[in-house]
Amino acid sequence: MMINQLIQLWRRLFFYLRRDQFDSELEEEMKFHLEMKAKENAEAGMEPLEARYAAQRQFGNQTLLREASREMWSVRFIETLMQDLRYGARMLVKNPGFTAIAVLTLALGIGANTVVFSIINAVLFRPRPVAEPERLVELYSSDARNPYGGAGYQDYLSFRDQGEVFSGLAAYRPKRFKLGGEDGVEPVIGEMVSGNYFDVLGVKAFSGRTFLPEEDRTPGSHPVVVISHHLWRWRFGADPALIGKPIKINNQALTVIGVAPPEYTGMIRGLAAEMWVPVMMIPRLDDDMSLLNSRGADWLFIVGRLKPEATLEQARARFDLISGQLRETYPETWRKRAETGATLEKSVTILPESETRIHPGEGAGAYAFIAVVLTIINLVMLIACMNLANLLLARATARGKEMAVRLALGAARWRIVRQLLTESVALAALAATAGVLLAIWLMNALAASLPAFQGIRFAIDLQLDWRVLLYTLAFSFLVGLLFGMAPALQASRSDVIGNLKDGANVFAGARRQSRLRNGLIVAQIALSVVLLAGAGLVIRTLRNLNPINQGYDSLNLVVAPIRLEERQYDRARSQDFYRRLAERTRALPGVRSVVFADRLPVVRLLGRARSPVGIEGYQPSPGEDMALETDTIGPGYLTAMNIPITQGRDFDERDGEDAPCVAVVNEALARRYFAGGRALGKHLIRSAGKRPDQLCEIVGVVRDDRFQSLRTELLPWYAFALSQTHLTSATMLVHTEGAPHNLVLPVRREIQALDQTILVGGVLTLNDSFGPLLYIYRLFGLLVGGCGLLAIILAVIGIYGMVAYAVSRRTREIGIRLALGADKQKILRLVMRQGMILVVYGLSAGLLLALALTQILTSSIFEIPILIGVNATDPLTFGSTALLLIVVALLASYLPARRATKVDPMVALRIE
Amino acid sequence: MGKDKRQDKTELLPGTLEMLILKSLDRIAEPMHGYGIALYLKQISRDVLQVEEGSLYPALQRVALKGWVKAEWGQSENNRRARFYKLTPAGRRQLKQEVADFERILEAIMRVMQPS
Repeated sequence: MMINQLIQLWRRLFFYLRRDQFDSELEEEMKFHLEMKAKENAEAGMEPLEARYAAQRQFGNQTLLREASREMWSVRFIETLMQDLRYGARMLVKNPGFTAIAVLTLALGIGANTVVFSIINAVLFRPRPVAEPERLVELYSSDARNPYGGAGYQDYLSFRDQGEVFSGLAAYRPKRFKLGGEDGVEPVIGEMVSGNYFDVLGVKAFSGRTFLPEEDRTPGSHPVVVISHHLWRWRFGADPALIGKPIKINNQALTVIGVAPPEYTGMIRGLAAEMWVPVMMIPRLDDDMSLLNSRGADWLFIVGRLKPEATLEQARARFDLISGQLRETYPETWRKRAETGATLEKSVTILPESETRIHPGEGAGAYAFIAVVLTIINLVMLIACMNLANLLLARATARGKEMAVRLALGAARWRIVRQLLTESVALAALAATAGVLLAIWLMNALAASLPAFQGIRFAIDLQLDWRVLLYTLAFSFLVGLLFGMAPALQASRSDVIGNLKDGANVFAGARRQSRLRNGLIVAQIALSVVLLAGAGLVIRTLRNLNPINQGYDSLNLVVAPIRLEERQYDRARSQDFYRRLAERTRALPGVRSVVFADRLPVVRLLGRARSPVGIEGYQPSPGEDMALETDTIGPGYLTAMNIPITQGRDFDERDGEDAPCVAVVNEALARRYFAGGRALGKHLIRSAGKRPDQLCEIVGVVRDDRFQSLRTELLPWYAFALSQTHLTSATMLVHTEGAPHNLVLPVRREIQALDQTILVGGVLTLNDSFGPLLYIYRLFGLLVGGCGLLAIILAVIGIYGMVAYAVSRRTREIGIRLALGADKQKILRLVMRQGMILVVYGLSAGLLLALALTQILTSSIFEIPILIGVNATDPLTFGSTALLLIVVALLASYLPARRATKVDPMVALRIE
Repeated sequence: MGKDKRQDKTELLPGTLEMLILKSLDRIAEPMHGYGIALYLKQISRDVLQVEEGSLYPALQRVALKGWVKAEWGQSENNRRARFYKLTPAGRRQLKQEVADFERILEAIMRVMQPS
C-alpha cells in the first residue's frame, strides 16, 4: 500500500515538471473528442456548423474539465503553499521599508539566540571528542559533604584493578605547569594523567604516539609528555622534528613523544589543556611523593570505559561492593571523622559522560547567568514581535476590503489565516537566514577577541552543528507564528458587509481591534522599561568597576601577585622574602612606596573575605555570625592608600612577628561592638588553628569610605598585620611617581632576581589587572545596553506608528473640528493625549515589573555579583529610565500629531 | 457547475465510473481513446449511461495516475492523432477487485429492495 502511494507521489512530481506538455496534450485530446462528436452529429443529419455547435454544447465546460483533470495530478497542499508563498513574497517586496525593518529586528533577535544556544550546545550538549562517548563514565568519591569529589591515587589503583566492568579506567587532573623557554617561564595548563588515559578515551595521536604502559609504572622513571595540537602549532611552529626532543617543564626536561589531535583539548569542558604528563612524573615535577602514596588525598578524577556487554547499573553494583570492602580495609580514609564529630563514609558515584560535561553540582551559577542572558535577549524579541504584530494589524485593517471580497467569494477562514501566517513565517525565515549569518559573524568575532589570561586558554568549539540549526529553525518558525497569529486571526474575522461598503469602515470589530493594539503598545513599553532599567544598572556597575571610581584615582599602581611554593617557604622564609622584595623594589627609581596586602584590588572588588573573630568584652548572642569582613595588610598600607585614620595609627615596622599582635578596625565595627565607639586600646581575639588564641590590640581605627567597599551599606571590618600572619600568597602594591607602565618590567625583574621560579606574568598596572574582569562585565554591558537601545527604538517605532494610525483614522473628525474653528494646539494635545495615556500605563507597569525582576540580579546564585556598588532598586536609575521614556514618547507622538494639525479641513472632509 | 439539462440523467455510484472504464477497456481488448470508451459505454448500456466529458477525462487521469491504465498517443481510424488508453496488469487486478466489491454491494442493495 505504501509503495503505491510513493509511486503515485512520484508520478505527481513528474507532472509538475511537464506541466505545459500535460496541458497541450489534454488540449489536443479534447479537440479530437470534439471533432468525433461533431462527426457523429453530422452523420445523424445535422448541418456541419450546427453539428459543431451541438458538439461543443454537449461537451460541457472545457475549463472545468481542464481544471478537474489537472487537479487529479496536483498535490493540493503544495499547490496552495506555493501560491501562498508567491503571494506573500509579492507583499513583502511591495513594502520594502517594512520588510527591511522587520527582517533586521528579527534577525538581531534570532542571531543573538543562535549565539547563546551555540554556547549552551558547545558546553552541554555536544559530547566530548572521544571514541564512543556513550560508553564513558566518570567516577567520583562521595561523602556527605561532597558528593562529587576526586579520588586518591591508591584508591584509583584499587578501582582499576578490581573494576571488572570496565575495559579501562584512567585518571586525570588539571594542573598548572611552568613551561620553560629562552625568554622565560610561562604558565600553561595541562593534565596529569594515568598511562592508559588516551587508550581509555580512544584518542589517537595526531603525530607520534601516546603513552606506553611502562611509562606510568615507576615514579620518575620516564620523563615523557604529549602536547596539544595548539601548543605544537603556536609555541613550536608545528615543527615536525619536535617528536623525540625534550622541552622544559617545571625545570625538568621531558621528551615530547606525541601531539594530540586538534579537536581534543582535555577532559575539562572549555579549558584548553596544552600537555599531558604521566602521573608518575609528579615526584620529579613537584618534588613530592605524598600524592602518589597517600590514599586520602582526593586529587584525581577518574574516567572509565564500560565493556561492551556491561551496563551502568552493573558498574554501580560492582563499585558498591568495592566501596564496602575498602571501607573495611581502610577505615582511616574511608570512614573519616569530621570536625563536627560525625562519621563521613565514602562511597563511589558513577555518572555517564553526558552528565559530567559540566562538573556535577556546580554550574548552577552559570545556568542562572545563561538564563538571565536568554531572558534579556528574548524580551527584546518579544517587543519586536509585538511591534510587528501591531504593524501587521494596522495593515490588516487596510487590507480589510481585500479580505472581505475573499470571504464573500467563499474563501475558508482558515485558508486566509494560513495565507497570512505563511507571509509572517516567510518573513521570519528570511530573518532567520540573516540571523544565522549574523550569528556566525558574531561568534567568530567573540572567538577572536577572547583573551587568554595567565596561561588559561578557553577552548569552546562554537561551530554550528545540526542541533543549533534545528533550534534556529524551530525558534524562527515559532516567532513567525507568534507575531503573525493576532493579525491573521483578526483579518479573517473581517466584517464582510461593513468592509464592502464604501465609507468609513470602523466600529464594532474595530474597538476590539484597537484594544488589542493598545494592549500590545502598553506591553511593549513595559518590557522596554525593564530592559532600560537593567541596562542602566549594568552601566552604573561598569562605572563603578573603573578603578578611578573605587578610590584609586590619585594612585599610580603596579600590582604584583606573589605566589610562593608552600613547600619551600615556611613562615620565616616567606616573611623574609617579602621584606627583601620590598627593600629592593623601593630602591627602584620612580617608586614612591611599596605596601603589601593579601588580595589583589580586583579580587577584593568581588570577594568578601570573612573570618570569625572574637571581640573583647563582647558576648555574641547564640547563632550570631561573628564572621566579619577582613583583610590582611602590611605596614604602611593604610597611609599609602589614603585611607583616613581617625584614631591611632597604621601598621608599621614595630609590628613584627615577635611583637604583640595588633589589629586595625573600621568605625562601623567600633560603633557596633564597643561602647561609645572607643575601640582604641581594646582587643580582638584571634584564633589560628593549632596556635592558642591571641589577644590583638586595636592600634588604629579608620573611617569607612568608598575605597574600602563599594557596597551600599557599611559593614564592620578588621585587619591583621601581614608580618604576623603566615601567607604564601600576597600582593605587592607599588606606588609610582609617574606612569606605572614603566615600572612593570623592573618589578618583574626584582621578583625573579629573588626567586626565579615565581611566575611574574600577573605583574601589571592596576588598570591592566582589571582587564579580564572588565572584559566580562563590558561584554554583558554591551549586551544589555544594546538590548535596551533596541527596546527604545522599537518603542519609539511602536508609539509613532500608533499615533500616526490613530490620526489617519480620525482624519475626518479632525477636519471637521478644524473647520468648526478648533484651536490647533487643542487638536495636538487631543491626539497626543491618547498616546501618552498608554505610555503612562506602560510606564507604571514596567516600573513595577522592573523593580521585581532586577531583584533577581542580586541573587547569590551567581558566583560573582552582577551589580557592584548599586542597589537593584536604585532610584537614580529608575528615575532616569522613566524620564527617558517619557521624553522619547512625547517626541514620538508629537511628530505625527503635528501632521494632524496640518490637515486641510476641506481635504479631510472629502476623505471617504 | 455547468450541467447540461438532459433527460434521464442517471447518477452513477461514486467510483463506478472508473470500474466501467476499466471493464470497457477489458472488453474492447485493444487500446481505445476517450471518445471511443464513452461511445462504447453508451452503446452497450443502450443509451442509459451517457458519460459527460467533464467526468470522463478526470476519471481517465485518475486511473492513469494510479497506474491501472497506460496512455499512449497513436493514430485513430481516420488518421487523426489521439491518446489511446490500455489496461495494465495492475489494472486488470484492480478490475477484478472492483467487480467483486460491486457485486457484493449490489447484492446487499437487492436484498434491501426485495419485496418481502
